[in-house]
Amino acid sequence: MRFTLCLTAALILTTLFGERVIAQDGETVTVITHKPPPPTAMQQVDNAFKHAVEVMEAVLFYRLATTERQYIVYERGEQYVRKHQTGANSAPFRRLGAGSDDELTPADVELLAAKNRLVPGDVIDGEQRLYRLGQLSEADSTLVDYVTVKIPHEDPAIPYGSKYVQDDSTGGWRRVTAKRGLLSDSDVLSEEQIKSLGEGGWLQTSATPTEKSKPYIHTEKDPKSGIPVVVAWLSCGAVFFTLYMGFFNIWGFRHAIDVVRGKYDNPDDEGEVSHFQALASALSATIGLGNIAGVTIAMTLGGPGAFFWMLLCGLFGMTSKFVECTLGQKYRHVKPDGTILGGPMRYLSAGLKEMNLGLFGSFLSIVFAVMCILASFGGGNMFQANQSGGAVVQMFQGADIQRLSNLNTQIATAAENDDTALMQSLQTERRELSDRLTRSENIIKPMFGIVLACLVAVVIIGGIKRIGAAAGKVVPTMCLMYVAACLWIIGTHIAEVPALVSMIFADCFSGQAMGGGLLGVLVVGVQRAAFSNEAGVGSAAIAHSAAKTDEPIREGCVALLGPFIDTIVVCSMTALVILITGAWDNNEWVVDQGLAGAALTSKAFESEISWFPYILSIAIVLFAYSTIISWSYYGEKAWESLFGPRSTPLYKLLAVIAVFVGTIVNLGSVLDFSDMMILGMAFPNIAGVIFLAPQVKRDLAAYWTRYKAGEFRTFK
Amino acid sequence: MKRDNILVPVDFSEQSLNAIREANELSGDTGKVRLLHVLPPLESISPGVVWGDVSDSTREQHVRDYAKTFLAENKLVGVDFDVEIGPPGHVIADYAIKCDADLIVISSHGYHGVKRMLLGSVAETVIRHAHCAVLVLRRTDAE
Repeated sequence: MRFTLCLTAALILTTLFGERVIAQDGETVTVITHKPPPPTAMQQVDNAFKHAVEVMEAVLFYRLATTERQYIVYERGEQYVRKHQTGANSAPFRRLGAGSDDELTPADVELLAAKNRLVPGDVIDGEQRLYRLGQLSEADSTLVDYVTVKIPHEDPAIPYGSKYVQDDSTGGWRRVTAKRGLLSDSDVLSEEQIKSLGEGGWLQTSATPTEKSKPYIHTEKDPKSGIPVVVAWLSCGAVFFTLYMGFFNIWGFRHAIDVVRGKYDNPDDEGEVSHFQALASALSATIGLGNIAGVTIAMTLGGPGAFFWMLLCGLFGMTSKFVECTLGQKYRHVKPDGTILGGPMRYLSAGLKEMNLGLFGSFLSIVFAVMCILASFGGGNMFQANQSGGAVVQMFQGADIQRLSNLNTQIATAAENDDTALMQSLQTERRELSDRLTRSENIIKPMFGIVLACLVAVVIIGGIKRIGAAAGKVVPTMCLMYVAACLWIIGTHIAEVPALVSMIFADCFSGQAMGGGLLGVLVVGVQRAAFSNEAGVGSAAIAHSAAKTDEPIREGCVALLGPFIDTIVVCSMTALVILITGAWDNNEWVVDQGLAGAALTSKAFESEISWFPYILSIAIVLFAYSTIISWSYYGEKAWESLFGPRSTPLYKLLAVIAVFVGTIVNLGSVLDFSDMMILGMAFPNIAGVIFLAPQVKRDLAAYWTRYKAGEFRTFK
Repeated sequence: MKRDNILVPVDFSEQSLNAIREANELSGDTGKVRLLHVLPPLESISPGVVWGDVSDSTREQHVRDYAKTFLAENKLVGVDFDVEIGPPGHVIADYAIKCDADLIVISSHGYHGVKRMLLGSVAETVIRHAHCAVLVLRRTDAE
């Protein structure tokens, strides 16, 4: 029997390719190795960064205290091959390991694809194909086209590709659902069922099985367990500073409001801006996509409980901001022309030098500056440009994208009913529509990129101060509009709020929405809040050091309002809208349409205020623009501290290029890399600030004594 | 040869103080020495410009005030002080023509490596573009 199989396989392959093929073991016949087409130049750039991202991820997001879990994947398919065709797509595919009568014409393949019965194909020569490229054996390098047809299990509850995780509490294997990776209550397989599936060859085999006899059992780190290093670092820092300063974020709040209202503004103090202006400047760098997209991600991943942890992160982050901005102000350098160079680059080197830790301080300062420059190119410029470009494309194409999604549903229905004629006409329509969408996207994105890069260039290179000033001043207005829209939505659903509040408190410790566990929901909430308010990252200290004052503590007080406004006010608004509209748990939006981040926020608003998505798109672009301007300033200061003030034109040029590149590329790894740099800045920053914190504590005590004694002159 | 009109570009560092002293010796009269500080162009994205009221004229005023204290502290009275904005090398050479200087005394920072590559040398540009003689003082503790 085995011999015949081998012979048949060899025969088929010989007839297929007209060459001798070394037949493999009879049982498995031939396994096709997937040979994806060579990467394009863009992908090569992306791949180069991918490695760096993996390294950074392994460090920054290394999860402490993770647990492992076992899982299986149901995956049974039949493969059909043909000799690789360049350009044409006419030859039929023959099934591997069976009689030559079993074949699929390209039309059959298309029908199967429409029914969602095919494993997705490769992009070959710039075109999305239904098939993939592969190689029959190591010895034979001839390329073949192949398709994998999914074979459904007789039990329709087990679709192709479904993953089952061993659940110790119930003893069975439970299916991982599309929504938040929750384990299904109804789709449970017993140990015996798994065994029979595995032995029947229905399960994907693991390359590194733990048990030789059960090669179909995979082991992975439980994605919801453990806490990423950087999140632990930021939260420990925030909690430490808050305890060490004796909850100054609470008892200093009142004074902070007084200061920001201008009560103590002495126009003769050294510095560039008033307390309020420094706060507005720092906020324009943090308020943006983090508040609109990031929070939505937290809510869809972590559910209502994550909201509680987000608030807590904002509350404790206030003290981190206080400490770092006090230091920024204290060790700032006032240049002869009255402008300021301050921030972590300064206090890490100068502050630690005073403590005889000069070498350590210089090291931290350089690491910080390098990360800050890269963060400004990436998270500050490219990422913002990319996301706002996406928002603009969506604004122009929204209706067509909806039509495309409707067409997909219609095609699937037609395929189910085997209505080939209808299906083909629909597919032509879809092809035309998607071609048109791609064409217009290829025009809109570069156009937007040029406009945005020019607007950035005239401000940062051309020195046109009006535009920068206007953009800066639009942010608070947009912010108020956004909050007002959120309050309107919350107001119309006010009856649901009490239930929601109780759900938030019930969920924050149980993590019910995430399938249980306190740590998972905590990490989700804290991570997104930290991304948004940047407390502990050190960036805001650069802006706050420009304030006119001779009391560093006073500017620190102002800075602590940053996380309050960013996280406790603005992020909360988004979070409540996402929770109240039920968008976080909406199957149609989250699972079927795959909406996430800003797109989901927009959908949630649309369901309440139909025209709001347009305002939201404009807000996103304006927020992105002001973030780019503010972050370019941070990057420039970091550059200046490394290379001197006369070399900043080079930095500015690079920053403008980054903006343009950000809009046209879709390089996931490049964007991830640069975005991660922002969080990476927290390592050198907090490490140094811990050493300098005792100074701040002493200064605070002295300041407060004088404040209580009424020694400060007031001006308002 | 006595010089009557010496231009000394200053950045308020220890090196520029040396240059001023050298110029004083060469001319024998502080009245024949002119100091020039060149400011980099205004940073249009700094909080002070976007939100506050920092402008070229406020910066110039600050530098003049700063120079007054700096000169008084170093007991340099009677020297002329001026401020210009732009790329330092060219601005200094142009200013020398404008004020008809017969000598420029400039200190070199002696940068090496990346800083040298990015910053270039102001002294070098001045030598290349100046219409008059240039005396470059070497910095002894060069980086």
